Amino acid sequence: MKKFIIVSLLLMSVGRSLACLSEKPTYNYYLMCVEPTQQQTESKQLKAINDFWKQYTNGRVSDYKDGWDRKTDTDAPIFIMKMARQKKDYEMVRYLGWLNKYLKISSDLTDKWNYPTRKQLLQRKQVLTQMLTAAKAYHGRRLSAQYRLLAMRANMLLGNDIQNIRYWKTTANHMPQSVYRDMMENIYARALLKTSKQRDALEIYARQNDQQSMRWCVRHYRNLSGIKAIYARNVNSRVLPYLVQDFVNNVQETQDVYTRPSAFIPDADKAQWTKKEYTEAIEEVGARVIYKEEAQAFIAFAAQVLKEGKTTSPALWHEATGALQFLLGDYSAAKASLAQAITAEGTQRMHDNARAIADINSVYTEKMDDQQQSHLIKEIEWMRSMTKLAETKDDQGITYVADPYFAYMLQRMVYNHLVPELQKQGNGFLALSMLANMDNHDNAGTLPSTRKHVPTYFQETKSFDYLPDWTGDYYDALQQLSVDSLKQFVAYLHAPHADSPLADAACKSSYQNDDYFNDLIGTRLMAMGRFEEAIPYLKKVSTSFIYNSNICGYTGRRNYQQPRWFVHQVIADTLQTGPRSVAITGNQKVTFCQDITNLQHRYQNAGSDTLRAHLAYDLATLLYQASYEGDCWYLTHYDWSCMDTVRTGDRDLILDAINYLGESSLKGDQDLQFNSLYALAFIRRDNAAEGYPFIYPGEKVNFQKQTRQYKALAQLNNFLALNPAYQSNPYVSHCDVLKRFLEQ
Amino acid sequence: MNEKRLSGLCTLLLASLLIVMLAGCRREEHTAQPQRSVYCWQTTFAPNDSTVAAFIRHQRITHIYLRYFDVVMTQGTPMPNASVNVVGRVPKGVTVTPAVYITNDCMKAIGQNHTEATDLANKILRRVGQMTSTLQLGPVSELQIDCDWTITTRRTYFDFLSVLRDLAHEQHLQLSTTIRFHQLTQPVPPADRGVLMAYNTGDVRDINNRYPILNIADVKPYLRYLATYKLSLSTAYPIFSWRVLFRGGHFVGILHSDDDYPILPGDKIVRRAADARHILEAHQTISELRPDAHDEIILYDLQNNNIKNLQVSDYEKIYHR
Repeated sequence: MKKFIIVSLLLMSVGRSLACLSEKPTYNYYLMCVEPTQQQTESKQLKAINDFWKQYTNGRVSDYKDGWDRKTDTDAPIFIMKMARQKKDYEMVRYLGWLNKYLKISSDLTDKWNYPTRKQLLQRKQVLTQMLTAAKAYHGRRLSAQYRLLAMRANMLLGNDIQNIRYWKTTANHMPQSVYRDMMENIYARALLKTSKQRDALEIYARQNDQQSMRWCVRHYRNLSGIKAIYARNVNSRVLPYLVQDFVNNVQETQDVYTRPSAFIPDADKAQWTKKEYTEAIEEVGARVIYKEEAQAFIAFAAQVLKEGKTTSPALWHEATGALQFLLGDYSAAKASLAQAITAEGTQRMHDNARAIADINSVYTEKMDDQQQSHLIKEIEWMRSMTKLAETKDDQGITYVADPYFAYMLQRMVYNHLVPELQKQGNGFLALSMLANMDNHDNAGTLPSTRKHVPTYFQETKSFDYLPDWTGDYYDALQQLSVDSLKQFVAYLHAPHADSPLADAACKSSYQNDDYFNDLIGTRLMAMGRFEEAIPYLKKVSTSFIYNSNICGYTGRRNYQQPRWFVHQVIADTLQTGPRSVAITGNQKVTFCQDITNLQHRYQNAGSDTLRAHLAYDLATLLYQASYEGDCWYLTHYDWSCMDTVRTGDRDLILDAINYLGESSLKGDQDLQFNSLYALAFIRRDNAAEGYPFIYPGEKVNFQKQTRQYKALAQLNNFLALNPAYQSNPYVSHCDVLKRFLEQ
Repeated sequence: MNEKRLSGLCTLLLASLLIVMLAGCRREEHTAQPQRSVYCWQTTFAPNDSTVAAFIRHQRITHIYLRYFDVVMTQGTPMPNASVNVVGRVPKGVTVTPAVYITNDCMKAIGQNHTEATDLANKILRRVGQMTSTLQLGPVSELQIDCDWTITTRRTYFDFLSVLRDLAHEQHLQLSTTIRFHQLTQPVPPADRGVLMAYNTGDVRDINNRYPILNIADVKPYLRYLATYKLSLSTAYPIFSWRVLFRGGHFVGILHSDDDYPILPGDKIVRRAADARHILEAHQTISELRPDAHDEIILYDLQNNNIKNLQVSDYEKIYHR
């Protein structure tokens, strides 16, 4: 019992325990994404540059600035220079010298707390001037693009914007298309901006998808007035897709923050928020406040644009109109607008965007009949295939989705619209099977899962990762089911569904591991205190399943027979709790159920009060261990938190233990009485300490006299007063809570 | 006469003498013409630019408050931003006082963390020293901090100023800070002196307010604190103007360039300027309430466009006590 009042916010496993952190995704991704993200554009540019160095170094270096040669553990710039010298490639050596100087100066130029000395400033200027001369003097062919870029870079750092404009017009503009030319044009745009030619600069930024620069240029245009002004200037301005997309997504952001502030700030109390606070929350994520009236005015303006017929991208305006109508809840109008967007003139990306939004919208406009179900199956597959197309590999060879837009739309459709709508229609199992289907796909429901209930091994930490089988929307939904519904749903998952194409497809591609569901049902029955009923289910669960489970380490290292009030079975190293962390020979849940069932039978048939009292104590020991306060909480649940309470549908095992201990404390011999009273004083339920569990070691404890635990401590104290021999019992002498109780 | 009485008499005599001397000094200060100063708040300061140089010469400017850099929150930490680029040499006889603008967000972020306040003070002082040396702007004898602090950040800002003042004194630098009219109602910041910013007195968002830059009537409630405000003050008067965009009678923004904001048919662009009449009206009010606040008069700010906003004769009147 020593130091049992200790705040432990250590979360023993992922999953439900994280609920207190409000980490659940909202899936409320932005609807419009007609332009690739800047990250995608940049990574394309970077790839082109990196490919050059990769080729030059025969694959030894994959990035100039931040890369290194693994073999010699040398930074890329040093390694490449060394290689160029070895190759006797003096043309490259000279260029690398300038490149390194440029990179050093541009890094030094960023505002830092250390300001350069006069000498350093002069040197910097001198180097840049020499760099400019050298760049202009280069007449070779091989590195001509690089040297011209170097010239523009030197001019830029020297503040020679006029010279850069001239250089672009006379020289760089005539270069063949390449990543270097793009970079030169970007510097040219900057020079235009610096010389008050913002409009021209903006068009270049838009064409290059330099969203950071563009965002700055149009920082006051991110509203309907801005869109109207740009449109009036040029009906087909490259800035319009960016502004229109931004507008629609800002409407969503405003709507989201106003309707669900708690999703963004966990403690937000909407009623207390001022308009300013809403605005701040919206702008904090880089969005702008756009209210409903402005959104409606946009729809009218888009109609006018389409009527005028001057735009070369009517798809954009139809799509934006449809997306806004969807956001404003006018689903039938959205359906018509999005259908037009799909066929109207525009980029493929605009058509695909419109199609994805139309799919989401269809949840509200179409009857969930065979036709709609078949349509959804096709569209889900389409979104998955689009995601698959966007798969790529990083430098380490790890696959990732470079453009997650379609994955996001799929998640939004299923989690935020389809599942709630199916539930509303009373089609709970179909909704659940959709969650099952998403859960069985990696990358949050988009790519077929590769998991086979085998955790991944990490060489560095010599550990296995935790399996995700007991986290996520699907698991959470399963946990909400009654045990009977759970059994029915498992049957539903395995059954053919000739009457529902969607159910059939969803169930077929969901995770159907029998071990998983038997363990889930058995564990749920245990949590409900129906131990005997749990045995047949748990017996079907293979040892290898438990061995690979997140609770493996606990089952192999903890013993439910040990009274928790005397022994705390600490596993100091968390790596020893997880999958495959200890060899196990069987399923501890089964033996627990068998033991407790046996005890229950014996208790019911006990011939004497003494035996009954002993059996009551043993039952209390097991029940308490299997409760959320026990060391063996993993027998009844898959996660644990110090803030746990009796979960909905669960049996209150702690109350059962208290009742058994009450009996054993009255009817047993003196030892049993002592053990029982000690246990009752130990149990945290209805805690005596004010503010529990937020009491830190050393903090003063205020005892509350009306609590169960206080009364139990008083009873234990009375027993010790009447039986002084027990006062020297090490559990008593080491119990700091009892000491504090006596000191009060 | 006992020893105690003698000592008391001596003290009385000394005190009287001191009062007479101080009164004399004060009277002398108030009759002398104000020191003529300007603020330079742009990212490029070109003292040799012909218009600027001529203004400095003709108006006999002897003191420039030069914004060295801003301090803004960058990735969760206060960082310098928009450091000034000095092109050319400051004319002889003109002294420079470095000014640093700190956003209120930095104060919010520092909160009650004294260590962070101290760290920021040290960093600013060191950087100001480095810039003065590199840009050859010395010797300087003062450092000015500008921050639009509010009641919620006052404690942080004062804590920061207090640390900075001690550090500045170690380097024989005085510390000054800007004072907005509404701040006159608040406790006095721990600085050696302040500059009363006699501008931005009205609501620029109100289309009916024709003089939002300076109209002394708008700050009347604060003026009663001016005479007794326990900090030595200089006064800064505006010479700038704004082009303000209104749509349907509602404020849209201040146009710094033509394409700054979208301009639609029917929009109204209104010029707001501090005219000589309002400046001189404020000048007279402040002069009556707090004559020593005109020991130094500063114009905000020295830019080619701004210089043309007033007549030469207006400057003479403003720079007059």
